[in-house]
Amino acid sequence: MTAGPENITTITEEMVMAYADGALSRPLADRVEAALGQDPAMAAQVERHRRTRALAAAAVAPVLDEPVPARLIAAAQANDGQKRFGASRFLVQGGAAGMALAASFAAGFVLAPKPPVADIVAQADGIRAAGALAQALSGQASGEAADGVRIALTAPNQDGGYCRAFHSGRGGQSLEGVACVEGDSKGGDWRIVALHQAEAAGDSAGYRTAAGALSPALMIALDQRRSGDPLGAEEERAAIAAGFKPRG
Amino acid sequence: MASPKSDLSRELVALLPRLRRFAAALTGGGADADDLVQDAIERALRKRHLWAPGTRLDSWVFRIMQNAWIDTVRSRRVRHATSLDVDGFDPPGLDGRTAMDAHMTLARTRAVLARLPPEQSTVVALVLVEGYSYREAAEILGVPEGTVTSRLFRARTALEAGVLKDAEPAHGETP
Repeated sequence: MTAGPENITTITEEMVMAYADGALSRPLADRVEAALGQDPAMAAQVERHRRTRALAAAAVAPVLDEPVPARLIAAAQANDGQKRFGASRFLVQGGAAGMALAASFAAGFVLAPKPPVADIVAQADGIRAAGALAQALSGQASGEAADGVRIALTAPNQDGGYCRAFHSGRGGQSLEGVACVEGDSKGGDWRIVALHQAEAAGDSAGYRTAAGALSPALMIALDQRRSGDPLGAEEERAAIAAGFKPRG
Repeated sequence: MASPKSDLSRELVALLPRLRRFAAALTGGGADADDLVQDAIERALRKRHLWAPGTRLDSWVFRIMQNAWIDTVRSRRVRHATSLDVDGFDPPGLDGRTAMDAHMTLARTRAVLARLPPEQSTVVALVLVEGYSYREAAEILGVPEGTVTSRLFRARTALEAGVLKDAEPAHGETP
């Protein structure tokens, strides 16, 4: 393309593209239009831009008609519990986990079909942590993983005790839950108030047991019981040292 | 209880089909696309205090999605290169003018999009798929309009090379 005397500025390839997209303002668009008639290469360029536009749109258009996966609907709705809980602070890295379970979980707690017997025992008045799980709950700091158990966080609960979110990969299962020491019990008596089975990594429902992730389901369970913000490292160390004795 | 928060959830749910299409333009589709949508939704919910009700939610989430995709691509590149192989979509003897099956053309298009730098595929998604103007796209992304134009131009050059190359005379020399 040659700039004739009437062309003050050259018509660039980007201008041609903008013209093809209808994004060029009037005086410039007129100039391009005038040049098109004399420049078959430029006309071909316009045509190519129109084709790439149509291609890009057509390539992804069918997605609009696809059914939306349930996990995404759950993710979009999983906000209430998180928000009250201050999700930005407590969602540890890898927050992609567990949204799909939140909706079904919010109403109550779901019991894993086969919890590792040694770690979780059913009693007349509820479910208690035992064995390595109880030990981890009583002695392990948040963020640490040992013996297949990882503690996610600790928060003071409304009964004057504490609740801790945990994940257990023991016994060939992947469980996550919330355990609390009640204000009227002696320290170290961990009552499991929420428990569900996490699928193996990367299942089709999109649930991934990413280390460090605390699922919204657990946040909701915790949120129903907590009385304040999760403990900082310092406070938590003190609580562990005191055997999680009920507060005040 | 009804609250602005649940309003946001409702709007996000209504937006899901378009978010999925947008993600398909960035990732090429499939599980990557839905992972990206989920990532973007989670980021949006965590940053909900930054969203002003009454402003366009779609534009806001689109920008979040670009950032999420940039992060994903970057972390993948660190781990190992797992980009889609465009050549895998090129059956032997394919002739662009006549025999190219429409289905295959669209698959190739998605494959090329998936390999574009996220900044480029986002502009494609905003302008070519969602129909935003250059200026609107620039506002959404917080970049100058000229940046949108040059990203879009580069993306299209890649699409031409990857999809239209058999259908058109050689293209390449630029001033």
